[in-house]
Amino acid sequence: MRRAILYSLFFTATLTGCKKDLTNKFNNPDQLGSGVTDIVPGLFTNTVSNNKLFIQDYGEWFYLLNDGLGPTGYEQICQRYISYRYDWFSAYNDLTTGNGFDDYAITSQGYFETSYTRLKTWESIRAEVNARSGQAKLDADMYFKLITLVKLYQSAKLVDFFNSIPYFNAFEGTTGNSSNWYPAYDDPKSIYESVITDLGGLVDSLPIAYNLMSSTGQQILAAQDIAFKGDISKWTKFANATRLKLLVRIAGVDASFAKPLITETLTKPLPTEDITFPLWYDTDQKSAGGLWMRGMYENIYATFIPNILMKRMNYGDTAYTSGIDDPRLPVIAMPTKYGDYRGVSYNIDTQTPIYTAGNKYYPYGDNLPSSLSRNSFSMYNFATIVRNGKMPVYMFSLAEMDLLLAEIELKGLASTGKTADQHIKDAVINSTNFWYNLNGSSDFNVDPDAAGAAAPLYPVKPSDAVIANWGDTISTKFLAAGSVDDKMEILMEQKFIHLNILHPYECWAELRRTGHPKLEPFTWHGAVWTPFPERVRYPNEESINNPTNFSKVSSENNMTSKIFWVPSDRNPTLYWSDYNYK
Amino acid sequence: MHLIATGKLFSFQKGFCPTPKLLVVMKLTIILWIIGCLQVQAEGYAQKVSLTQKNASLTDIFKMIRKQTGYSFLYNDRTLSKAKKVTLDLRDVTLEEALQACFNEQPLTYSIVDKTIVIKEKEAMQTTAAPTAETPPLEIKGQVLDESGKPVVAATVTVKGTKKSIATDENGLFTLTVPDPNAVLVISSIGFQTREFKITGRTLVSITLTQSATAIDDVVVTALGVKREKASIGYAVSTVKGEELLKSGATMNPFLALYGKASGVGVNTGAAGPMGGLKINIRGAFSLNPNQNTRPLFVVDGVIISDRATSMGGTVGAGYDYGANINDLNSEDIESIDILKGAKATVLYGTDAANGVVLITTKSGKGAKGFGMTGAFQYTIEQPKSYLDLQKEYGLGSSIYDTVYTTRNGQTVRQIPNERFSFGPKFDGSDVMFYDSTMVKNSPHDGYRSMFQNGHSYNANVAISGSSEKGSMRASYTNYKYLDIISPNSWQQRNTFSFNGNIKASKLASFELVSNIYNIVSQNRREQNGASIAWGFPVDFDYNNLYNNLYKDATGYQRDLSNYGVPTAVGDIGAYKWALDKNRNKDDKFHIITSAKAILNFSKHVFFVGQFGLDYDNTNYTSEISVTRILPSVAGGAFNVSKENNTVQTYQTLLNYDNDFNHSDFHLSGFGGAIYRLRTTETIGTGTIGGLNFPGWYSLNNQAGIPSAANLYQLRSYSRGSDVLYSAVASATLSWKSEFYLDLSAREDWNSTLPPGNNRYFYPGASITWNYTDRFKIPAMNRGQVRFAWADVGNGTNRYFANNQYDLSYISGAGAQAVSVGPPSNILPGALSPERKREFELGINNTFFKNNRVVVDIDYYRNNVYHQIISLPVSQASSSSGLLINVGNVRNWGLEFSVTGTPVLTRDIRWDITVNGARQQSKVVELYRDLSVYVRNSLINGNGASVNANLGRPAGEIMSYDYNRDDNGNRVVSSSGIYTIDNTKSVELGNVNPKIYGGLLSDFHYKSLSFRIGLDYKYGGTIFSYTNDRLTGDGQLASTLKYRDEQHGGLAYYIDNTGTNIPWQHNQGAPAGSADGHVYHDGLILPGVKLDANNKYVKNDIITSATNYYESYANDLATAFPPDGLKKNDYIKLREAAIAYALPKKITERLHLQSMTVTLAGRNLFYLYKTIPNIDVESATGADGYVENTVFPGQRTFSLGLNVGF
Repeated sequence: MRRAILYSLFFTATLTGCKKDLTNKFNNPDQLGSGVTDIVPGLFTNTVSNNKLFIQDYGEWFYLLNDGLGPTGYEQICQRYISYRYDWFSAYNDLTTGNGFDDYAITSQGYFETSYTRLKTWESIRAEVNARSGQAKLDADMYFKLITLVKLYQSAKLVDFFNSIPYFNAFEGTTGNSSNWYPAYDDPKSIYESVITDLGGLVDSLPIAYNLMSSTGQQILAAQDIAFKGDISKWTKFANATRLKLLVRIAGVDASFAKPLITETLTKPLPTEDITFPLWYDTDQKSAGGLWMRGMYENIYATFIPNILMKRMNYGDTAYTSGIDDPRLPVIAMPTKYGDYRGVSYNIDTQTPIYTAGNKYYPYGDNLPSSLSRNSFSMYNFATIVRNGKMPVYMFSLAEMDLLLAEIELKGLASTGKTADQHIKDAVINSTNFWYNLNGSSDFNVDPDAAGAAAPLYPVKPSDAVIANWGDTISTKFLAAGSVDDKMEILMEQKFIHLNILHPYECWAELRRTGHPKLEPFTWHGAVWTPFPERVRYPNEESINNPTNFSKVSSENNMTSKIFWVPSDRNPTLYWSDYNYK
Repeated sequence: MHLIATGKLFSFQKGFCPTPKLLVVMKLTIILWIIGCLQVQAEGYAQKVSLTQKNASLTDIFKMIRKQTGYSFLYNDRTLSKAKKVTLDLRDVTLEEALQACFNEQPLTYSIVDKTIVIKEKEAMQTTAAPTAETPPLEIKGQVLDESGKPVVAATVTVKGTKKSIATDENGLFTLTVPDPNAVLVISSIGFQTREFKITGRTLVSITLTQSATAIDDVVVTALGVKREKASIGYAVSTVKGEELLKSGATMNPFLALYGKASGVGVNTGAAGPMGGLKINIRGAFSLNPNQNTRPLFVVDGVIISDRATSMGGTVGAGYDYGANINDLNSEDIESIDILKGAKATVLYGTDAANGVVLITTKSGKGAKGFGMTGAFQYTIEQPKSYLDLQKEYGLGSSIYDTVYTTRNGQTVRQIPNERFSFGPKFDGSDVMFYDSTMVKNSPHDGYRSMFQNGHSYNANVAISGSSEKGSMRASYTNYKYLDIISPNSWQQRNTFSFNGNIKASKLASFELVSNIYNIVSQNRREQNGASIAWGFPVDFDYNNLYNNLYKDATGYQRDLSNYGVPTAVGDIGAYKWALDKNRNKDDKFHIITSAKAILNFSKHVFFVGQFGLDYDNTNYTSEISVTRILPSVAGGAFNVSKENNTVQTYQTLLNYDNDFNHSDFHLSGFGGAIYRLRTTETIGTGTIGGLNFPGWYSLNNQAGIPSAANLYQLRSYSRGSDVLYSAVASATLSWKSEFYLDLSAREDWNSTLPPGNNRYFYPGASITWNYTDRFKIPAMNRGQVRFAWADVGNGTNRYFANNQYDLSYISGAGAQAVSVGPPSNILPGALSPERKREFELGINNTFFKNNRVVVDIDYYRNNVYHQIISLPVSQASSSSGLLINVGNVRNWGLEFSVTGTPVLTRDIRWDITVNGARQQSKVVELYRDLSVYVRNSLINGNGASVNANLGRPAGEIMSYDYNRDDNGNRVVSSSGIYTIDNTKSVELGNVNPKIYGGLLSDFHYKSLSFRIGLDYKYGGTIFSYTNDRLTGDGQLASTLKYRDEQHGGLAYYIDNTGTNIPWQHNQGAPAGSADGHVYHDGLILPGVKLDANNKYVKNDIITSATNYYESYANDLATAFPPDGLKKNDYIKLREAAIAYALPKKITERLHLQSMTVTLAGRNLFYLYKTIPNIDVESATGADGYVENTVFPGQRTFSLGLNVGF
C-alpha cells in the first residue's frame, strides 16, 4: 500500500510537472504574458511611436527620393541634379508602367498595409474598453478616443493617396467576421464625410473623457502620451485643425456639406501654436534606426531644391539678400559653392551642359566643407532638416492653418474674421518663425561632419519687422493677383515653401486638388513633357488577398484617376509653358 | 579531455595551412591518444561459450548462446524448421567454434552482422565429396582475403567434419593439417559470409571471403534505431551504405554524395556552394504554411539533430547560408544512412518526423580487422565551371552609334561610357579612355570569370578500431581544409573527432557511448551578388584593374567615384571584390553529438533500453568590416560579434519483449516506453555603433558612434526559445513463420508548440507484410514480398507560432519614459489543434536469379495532409495579416522505384547497375470555406508572381501575369512593337516542385580495379532566374546577340522624325527622312498581333529594335516580368565518376600494410542535358529550389584519394 501511494505521488508530481512545462514552453518568454501590465496605455503609445503615421519613415523616404521619379520629384519639392547621365528619366512622361512616375515608395513600403496594421491597437483597445466597467473603463476610454483620432487622421491620408479604401468594415478583423477579414472598398466621399463627422465628435468629447479619468490614469497618460504629455487641449486642437483641413479639401466637390461645418469648426479650439512634438532621442541619420532624414542623408544627391521653390524664395540675383528675398531661404536651403542659392531645373537640355562643364556636387552628407565647396546647386539645409538630430515630429502648424483660412476666405467658404491677404501675411510670418525655430534647435554645428563650417547654415534671424515686411510683400502679390486661380497660385506657392520636404504628401494632395503651384515642364532631348500623376496604386497584396472586393476598384487602380476631392474646375494649366515664369 | 573541451586543439586561427611539422606532430598525438584509449579493449576475440545439450533444437541453443554472449539471432522460422536437432558438449569454446559445431551437419549456414547472427539456408552446391581413399594428412598454408584483397584477420578456418580449426594471423595467413586432399575448409569471420573451400590437393591456397552484403542488405535500421530483417518491414526504407558515399571521394558532408542514391529523396544545394545549406526533401513534402518545416528529421546514432532551413541573407549570424548541423557530419565516419519515407515508418518518431526521417549510423569497431587502423587521405581540386555565357561583341551603350568622346590632355578621345546596357558599338580594339582617365583598349575581357579561382580541399582521416566479444570501440580523427572558388579569403577548416564504443559489462548490462565532436571554422562565406545581376557584368573592362586602380585609390581605400561618371556596375563589382578582400566574416562552431545507451537484459524475453542523446552546437560569429575611407576622415567600418547556441536533448526509455509461441510458428516482439525531447536555442550579440575610429582595429573599443536608445538593438541583441515534446510509444510485431508480419505501432505526443488544451495527439500505424515466395515458389524469383502500410500521424507547428501574445518594449529618452505594447499580427479565431497526415503505401520487393542479380523495389504511396496550421492571409485592411487556423487538405501521391541489376558477373568482372526514380504529384482537395485561390508565398518580392496552392490544382504552382493575347492566343504587341503584360489576371506558368527525379549508378569491377559512374536527373520544377532575366535586359548574354545585326538576323531600318522605325536596307545609307542619319541593323518583328486603327488585331508588322526587346526583361521595379522569364529546370548530370585500384598484395606487404587503394574521382562533372541556360541548375538562393538571384559558377571537383589499412 505504501509503495502504491509513493508511486501515485510520483506519477502525479511528474504529470503535473509535465503539464506545467508544456504550458510554459508554449508561451514565448520574451513576449508579454497576461496580468503583467495594463496593456491599453502601451497600445496607444505603440501606435503613436510607430513610423508612417506621424513619424516619417526611413525606407519610404529612401525610395521617395532615390530615383527622383517619386511624388517628391513630380511635385517638384525635391529632385536630383538631373542631366542626360540619368537615362531613366527618358521615361519621365510615363504615368502607366511605373518606369516613369514611380509609386514604389508607397506601394512597396507598405504604406497602405501598415496604415491598417499599425492601428490594430484601435480594436485591441476597443475590446479592452468593452470588457471593462467603472473607472477602469473610463480610463481606457480616453485612449480609445485618442487612438480613434489617429485612425481618422490616417484614413483620410489613405483616401488622399488611393481614393477608395476599405474603411467601414476595416480595422476590426479580430471580431471574427469574415466581412471584416476581407473588407469592402468604400466610397471615398462617404469616408471623408464620416471622418469629418467623427472628428467633430472627438473635438467635443476629448476634454470630457479626460476629465472622467482617474488622477492615476491621468498621470499614466502624461507618461504614455509621447506626443503631448497628456495635454488633451493639443489633441483637441489637432483634431479640429485636421477637420478643418479635410473640410477645405472636400469643399470643392461638396460645398454645401463643407461650408456649415467649416463655420462650426472655426468656433471650436484651433491651434494657437505650432503642433509638433520632440522625439525622445536625437535622430542619427547615419546608421540603422534613422528616420526619414536618414532616407535623405543616404540620398543626399536627390535633395536639391527645384526652381519651382527656389524662384519663389530667391529673387533678383542668386545671392540671398535680406528684404529682397524670402527670409526663410537661408534656413531652408543650403548655399552653393558660389555662396549663393540656386535651384535645379527640369529643363534637362539646359542643365546637362552645366553639369558637363564641371558644375557638380559632393554626393554625401558627411562632410559639410566638401558640400559647401563642391555643390553647384542648393540642397536642403543640413542643419535645419537633413542632419538636424533635434527634428521634431510635425503634426500641424500655424502657417498651414493660416493658409487654410486664407483659402476659406478667398473662396467664401466661411467667415474667418480676417481677409485672405491678412491670413497670407500671417502664414508668412508664422512660417518664418517656424523654420527659424527648427534651425535654431539644430545641433548640427557641433557635429564632427560639420567640421566647424556650419555658420552659413545658421543665418541670423531677421527682425520681426523684416519678416512682417516680407509678409506684406507676399500679401501684396496676393492682392495683385487677378483671378481666384492666380491668387491660389500665390497661396499654394506659400504652402509649398512652408511644408516643402517636411510634408510632401500634403503638398502633393493640395497640388492635385488645386492645380497650384504650376510646375516646370520637363524637357529631355527636346521633348517637353508635362505629366501629372493623380494617385498611387494599391499594393499587389490586396489583389491577391482581397480579390473580390479589389476587383470593384481595379479599373481605377492606375496613376491617373483623380481623387474624389478634385473639383471639376481645377486649374487646367498645370504647367508653365516655359521656364521664364516668375 | 581537456583538449577537446576547449575545442581549439585542432583549429588554426590564422592562415589556411599550418606548418607540415605541426601537422605531423598533431596527427601523431591524435593517433597515440586513440591507441591509448583503445588499449583497454585489446583483448582479442575469445568470448567463451559452454553448451552441453542432447537432441536440442537450434532455437534452444540460440537462446543459450544469446544469454551467454549477448549476440541475437535473426532467422526465418521456415528456414529453421529444416534444422536437425543437435547434441553438443562444448566447454569454453569461442563463439565461432560453438557456431561451427551447431551448423556442422545442418543444411543451414550463418553470418555475423554486428551483434546479430543471421541464419540462412545453404546453397545446394555446398555439399562435400567424401574422400575416396585413405590418404596421409596434408599441411595446408593459405591466406584469407576480402574482396578488395585485404587480409582478413582472425578468421576461423575449420576442417569440415572435424573440430580442428585455427584463426588467421594479422596477415590473414594460416597453416592447418587436413586429413586428405579432398578436405573441405570452412572459413568464417565476423562481417563475412561463411565459405566452404575444397582443397582438391592444393597445399597453398588463397581464399576470398565475401562481405556479408546480403546479410547487411537484409537488416535495416528502423525507427528508434531498432534493427529489423528487411523481409519483415511493411514500408519503404532506403538504405545507403557508408562506402557508397566515398566511392567517388569524400565530400565536405555526406549528403553531397547522396544525389540520386535513394528514390524519393531529393537533394539540392544552392548558390552558397558546398559550405552552404542543403535541401533534403522526402516525397515532395510541401506545406501550405511557407514557414512550416518540410525537412526530414535527422537522427545520428539515436540523437535528434538540430536543424534549420537554409537561406541566404537570413537573420542568422552575418546573414550567410550557414547550412545546418547535418553539414558537419563526416563522410568517413558514416556506416549507413537509412531513410524512412512514409508515415508508418516514422510513427515512432512522432511530430518531429512528419516529413520523414534520415537515420545516420556512424561506424563502430564491430568487425574490425587487423590492427583495425585505417587512413584515408584525399586532395581535391575545386574548379569553377561557369555557365554564364556573356556576349563579347558589343560594348556599353544604347545603340551602335552611342559613342562618347571627351577631352583628355587637350585631345578628343573616345571613352568607355557611363552606361548600364550593352547595346553599344562593337568592340574594335581601339584606344579608349577608362573611367580613371587612363587609356585602355576597347576590347572585351572575361571579367566575370576573373572573379573566381581554383579552390582545393584536403582531407585526412585516421581511424582505429577494435572488437571483442566484450564489445568494440572505434575512434577517428578527420582534418579537412577547404578553399573556396570565390576568394583566397574564403575557406573552411574542420577537425572532427568521432568515438564509438560499446561494452558488455555483465550478463545483465551492456553500454554504448557514441560521441562526435566537430570544430568548424569558416571565413567569408558566399553572399548574394544580386546587385551585380541587376546592373550587369560588363565585359568592357578588366575587373582587376577596375578594383585595384579605380575602385580603390592610392590610400588603398575606396575612392569617391561620385565625379567619375561610372556605371552602377562598377560600384557593385568593386563592392563585391572589396568585401572579399577587406572584410572578414568568420563563424567558429563547436558541435557535439553524443549518445549514451544502457541495455539491461532482465530475462531472456525482456530487456530494457535507456538512452540519452544530445546535439549541442555553439557558434561564435565575428564580422570585421573594414573602414571604407581614411581621407578626409575615417568612414565606415564595423565590428560585430554574436554567439548562437542550440541544443536538442532526447531521453528515451523502452521496455522490450521478444518471444516465440506455438512451436516457434508465432513470434512476438515489441516495446513500449516514454520519450522526452527538448530543443533550445539562444543567440546573443553586439556590435559597434557608427563605424570605427581607426582602421584595422576590430574592437568594441574602436567604436566611432554614440550609443543611444535608437541604436540599442545594435548594441545588444538576444533571442531564445525552447519547445518540448513528451511522448509515449508502443510497437508490436507479430509474425507467423516468416511469411506474414503484422506490425502495429502507436505514439501519443504532448507538444508545447500547441495550445495547452489541444497539445496532445495520438497517431496509430499498421503494416502487413507477406513474403509470398515462402508459399508459392516462382521460377527465378528468390524473394517476393508485398507490403501494405497505413498511418495517421500528427504534427504541431513552429515554436510560438500558435500563441498570439503581445510584444512589449520601452520608449525611453529625453522626456519620455513609456511602455509600448504591440498586438499580435495575426487573428486567432480559436485554439489551434494538430495538423494531420494520413498515408497508405503499397510496395513490392522482389529478387531474382542466382545471387540476387536483379532486385526490384517499387512503392506507391498516397497521403493527405489535412488540418494544416497556417496563417491564412487576409486583407491587411482588417488590421491583421492573417488568420491562424487549421485549414486545407493536400493530397500527395507518387511512385518510387529502384532496380538493381548485375548484368555481368564472372570470376574477374562484376558490373552492377542501379536505377531509381520517383514520380510525385499533388492536388489541393480542400482549402477554406469558399476560398479557391491560396497564395502560399510571393515568388519574388514586390511583384504579382506567387507560389500558390489553389483548390483542385497541384500545390506549388507559380501564378503570374501572362502576355496580353488575342482570342487566338497570339501575343499582342504595343505600338512600339514590344509584347505587353496583362496585369489584370494571373495564370499558371509552372510549378516549383519537380515531377520526377532520381539517379543511376554503375559500378564496374575488374579484379582490383573498379570504375564508377553516377548520374542524377530531375524533370519538372520551374525556376525564376534573375540572372537570365536581367542580363538579357542588360544585353549582356550571348543569347542577346540574336537580331543585333544582319549576321544575327537583324532587320535594317531607320528612324523617322516621328520616332517610327521604317524598314530599310542594310547596304544603303540613311534616306533624307531619317531623323539622325543612321541606318540601324538590329530590327525585329515579334511574332504576334497588333491593334490596328480600327481597334482590331492584325498581324504585327512593327519593327522594334533588339535593344527595346531585350530591355523589356530588365524590370527593376519587379512589378511584372515577361512570363518566358520563368525557366524549366530539367537536367541530367554526370554527378560522379571514379576509378579505384587496390594495390597488389606483394606491394602492400612490402609497405607493411594490409591494403592500399588509390582512387581518382570527379564530381559534378557536367550536364548531359539541362534546360536552364547561363546558370548552374543548383543556383537557387538559399536552396529553396526555385528563385535564383546569385550567380556563381558550378563547382567541378577532381580528387585523388589514398586509403590505407594497417
